[in-house]
Order: sequence, then structure tokens, then C-alpha cells
Amino acid sequence: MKRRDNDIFLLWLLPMALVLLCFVILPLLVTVVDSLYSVSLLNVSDRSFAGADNYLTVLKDANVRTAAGNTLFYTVVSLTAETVLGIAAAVALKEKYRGRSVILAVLSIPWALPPMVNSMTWKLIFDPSVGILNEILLQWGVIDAYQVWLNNPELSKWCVTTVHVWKMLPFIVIIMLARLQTMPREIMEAAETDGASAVQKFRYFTFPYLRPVLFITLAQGTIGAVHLFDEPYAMTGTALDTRTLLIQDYLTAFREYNLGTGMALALLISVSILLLMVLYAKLAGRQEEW
Amino acid sequence: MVENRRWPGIRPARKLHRRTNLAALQAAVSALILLYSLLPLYWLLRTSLISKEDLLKAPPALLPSPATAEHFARILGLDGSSHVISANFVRAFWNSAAVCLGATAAVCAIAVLAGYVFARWRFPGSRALFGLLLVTMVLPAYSVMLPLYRVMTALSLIDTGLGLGLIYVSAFMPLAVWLMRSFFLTVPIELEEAAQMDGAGRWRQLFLVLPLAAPGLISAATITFLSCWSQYAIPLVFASSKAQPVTVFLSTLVGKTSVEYGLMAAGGVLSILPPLLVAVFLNRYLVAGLMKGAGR
Repeated sequence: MKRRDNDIFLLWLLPMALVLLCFVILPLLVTVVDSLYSVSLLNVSDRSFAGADNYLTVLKDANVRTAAGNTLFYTVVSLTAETVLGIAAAVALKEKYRGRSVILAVLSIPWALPPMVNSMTWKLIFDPSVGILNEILLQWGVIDAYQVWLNNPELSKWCVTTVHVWKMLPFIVIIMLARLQTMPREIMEAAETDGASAVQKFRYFTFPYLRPVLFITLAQGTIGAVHLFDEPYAMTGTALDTRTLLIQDYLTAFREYNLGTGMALALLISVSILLLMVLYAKLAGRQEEW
Repeated sequence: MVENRRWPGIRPARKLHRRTNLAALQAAVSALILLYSLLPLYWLLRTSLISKEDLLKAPPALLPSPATAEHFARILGLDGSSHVISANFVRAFWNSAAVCLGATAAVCAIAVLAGYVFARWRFPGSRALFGLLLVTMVLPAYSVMLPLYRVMTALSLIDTGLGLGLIYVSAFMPLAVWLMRSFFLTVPIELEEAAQMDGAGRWRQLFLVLPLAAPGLISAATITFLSCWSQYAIPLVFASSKAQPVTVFLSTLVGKTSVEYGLMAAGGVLSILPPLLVAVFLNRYLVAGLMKGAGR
């Protein structure tokens, strides 16, 4: 290819590069710098160097710790649910059958809907006066009295997790299914000829084949859970029992107007996510060497 | 199994047995998935169609009988009662539509150009630039939201559709570029080489292969549109009143002194119609895009 031809390529990259520079990289640099200053959203010109003060404030803040604990809870519980249910559904959907594409379309609906509306929908289900959940569980004998699901600190986190997993699970199933469909038929046929039981087939063939993609689903699930904002905010507002790190960050920056502290917290969240992604990539890489 | 080889007659019987088992499993899983996705949505629809009096009866009625369209009439302003609510809802709905369609078009244009370059041209730093783009996918708007707020204030783009659209473009561009690059990579380069021999320029070559990558473009557009329509936290900060999208409007209905369940539900049903239709009718592209997009 001639050099002159490639000049137009630079032009084609320009829109992307401009958006990346103006809306991601420059703001990110400002975030890093401002996290070292004490800045108020009310008067951004009034600023003083604070060094690591903002980070210390964040780390000492009891609310941040509670929110971090909640985010950890959401991450662990949703990753577990998504992985177990995801594998089960993907294995069951692996073989093509009549109507499967319709089922996949229906399955992808929760992923496509706004989490804010999903939360509203589920709020109508959890609601003690107009909801249906209490009545169903009462009939089945799971509970012996109506529960106020979202006002109960023991239960509200589980409710938020349910709504989040409801949206994420279809995505996880689709990723796993993409992998399972590339599994060579011969492997399963050989296993069947050798008289392997369903459990053996899963343990020795399906699961090892699925394993590389598990790191992708874990990574996607982690990003989803750590970025959780809409569901708890729409269902229980800023209640401390369900508050996530991002809600805490929103409160710090936009309700308390502490920009510097808010940026320090935002950076800490971002760095944690990046480290987790590197960890998953390392684990996945070691997997491939085996 | 050795016996099976000696008496081949046994195998078809066993296989048949296994096949009926499989069919039963598939039917059961299909039913479970239908319930999983549709039951919650049924409850939303049912609440939007039930009258105020029937709503508070215990135990809750499973069917809205008689069904009423009063909530839909109110939120759309067809009954002439609460003018403010219906005006705000309709405006928010069109805000959502305009910003999402605009951002999707912009993302697609950027992604076609950049995705093509990344697929066809290796230059010093191209891998680094592409890697940087992928890293920003893990760090979406939240980590840059606070400085962006100041930029948007300085440009007077707070509470405007343009400002919100620009943020959406920056947030969803990386995935679209990734998708377009991987779709262009599946198109054989011979076509462009032949065209180049005939003296076709870069633009002609791009438009020559674009139809072959069209499924990828539809996938990227579908995912971008759905992601934009879903946003709540970003517009809550950047477009909370005049330019508010439908998600932010709906949250203003929640938590008023008296909760208007029917009105909320009717608004919810209307606001999920566009993403629902897109997800169902463009499902093939959505699923293909999600499958490819996750592999990064």
C-alpha cells in the first residue's frame, strides 16, 4: 500500500481519537490531578493542594466502607448466581431445536431493558400492598406473614441482587452458549460411545471446554456488579443498607459537593476494577498454558 | 460399550430414549425461560391496566378485569386531566428517542471508519491506541463524570440533548469500534486489492466491503441503541430536567406523596416498548453482537 493512501486512514481515525481525547483521556487526567486537591463543586476556582488527604478521607469514611461491603456482597452473590444458572441454561440450550431462536429472543429481553424500569417493575412485585411476591410465597408456605421486602435491611440487598442478576444472566448465558456451540460433536459422540454418564460428560468434557470463557463471564459480571447504581438507587434510594460505591461517589460529589474526594473515590474504584481485570486475564492465560 | 458393538440393535433404542429425555429437558428449560423473562413484565402490564380500586384489593388480582386504559390515557394526556405529567412524559420519551438515535448514528459512523482502519492498517502505535480504547470500556463514564461535568458546564451543554449524546458516544464508541473491526477482519482483503488495481480510492473500497460487514453494523447499532436507552445515572447528573430522558422522568413519579402505581406502570410499559421491539426483531444481530463483543 502506498504511503499517500494511508494518509486518509489518519483522517478516518480522527473522529474516534478526538472523542477519546476530549471525553475520556483529558477528563481522566483531570480526575487524577484533582483527586490530589481539595475542590468544591460550588466554587471550583477555590482549591488547595491536599496531597493524599482525599484518599485518606475516603479510606477512613465509615459510609465508604459500608458501601464497599455492599458492593462486595453484590459482586460475590451475583457472580455465583450468574455462573451456576448460566452454565445450567447454556448446557440445556446447547443443542438446536425447533423454537430455540424464539426462546433466545425472549431470554435476551431483560438484558435489553433499562435497569431503572426493571427496578420499577420488580418494585411492583415486591410491594407489600400491590405486589404479588408475598402472596405467592405465603401460598407456598415459604413465609408465614407478609414481608416489607425493600425496607428490611436483611432482605433489601437480596432484592437488589435479584433485579441485577435478572438483567445480567441472559448476557452470561449468550456468551457461554457461543462457546459451547463451537464444541466439536465428535467429543460428545466419543464420550457417549464409551458410555459416559451425563455427570461424567459434563465434568470431563463440557466444563473443561467452557472454562476459558468463564473468565470472560466473570469479568463481565464483575464490571456489571461494581458499576451497580440504577437498581439500588431506583429501589431504595440512598439507603445505607443497599448503597453501592458508585452511589456513595455520587453523593460525595454531587450532594456534598466534595469534588476532590469524589474523584479520589472514583479513581480507587476504577483502579480496583482494572486490577481485577488483570487478575482474570492472568488466570485465563495460565489456563491456556495447561 | 462392547455389548453395543456386538448387538447394534440396542443402540437405536438407547439413543431414542436419550432423545426423548433431551426433548423433555429442552421443553422444560424453554418454559422456565419464558416465565423468567415474561412474568415480571406481565406484572408491570397487569398493574398498568388495573383500576385504582381493584389495585389495592387483597389478595392481589392476577388479571386486570375489567381492564382499564385510564392510566395510559392520563400519561399520554388523552383525558385532559394532569397536563404537566403527560407533557413531561411525552417530552421525555422524544428526548430519549432523539438522543439515542443521534448517538447511535454518530457511534456507527465513527466505528465504521475506525474499525476499518484498525482491521486493515498496522501503523506504529496502532496496537497501543486500540488497547487504550479497550481499556476505556472497563472504565465507563463514571470515572470521568466529575471533570466532564465541569467541561459540560463550561460549554453550556448541561441539560441539553447534544451534551448527553456526546457522553453516550464516548461511552459506547469503544465496543462498536471493536465490533466493526472484528467484522471487517472476516471480510477477505482480495476484494479491496482487486478494486485498488482498478484504481478505486479508499472511500470506494470501504463502500465496496461495507455491505459485507452490514450484519456487524446492525449489531453495533442495536447494542448502542439499547445501551443508550437504558441509561439512568448519567442523565441524572447531566440532563435532569429539560432534556431528561424517559428513565429519569419515571423516577420522578416514584416517591411522590401518594404513589401512583398505575401511572408508573403505564409509563414503564410505554418506555420499554422501543427496546423490547428492537431486542425481539433484531435479535439475531443483538445475540451475534453480544457473542462477539464479549470476546475481548
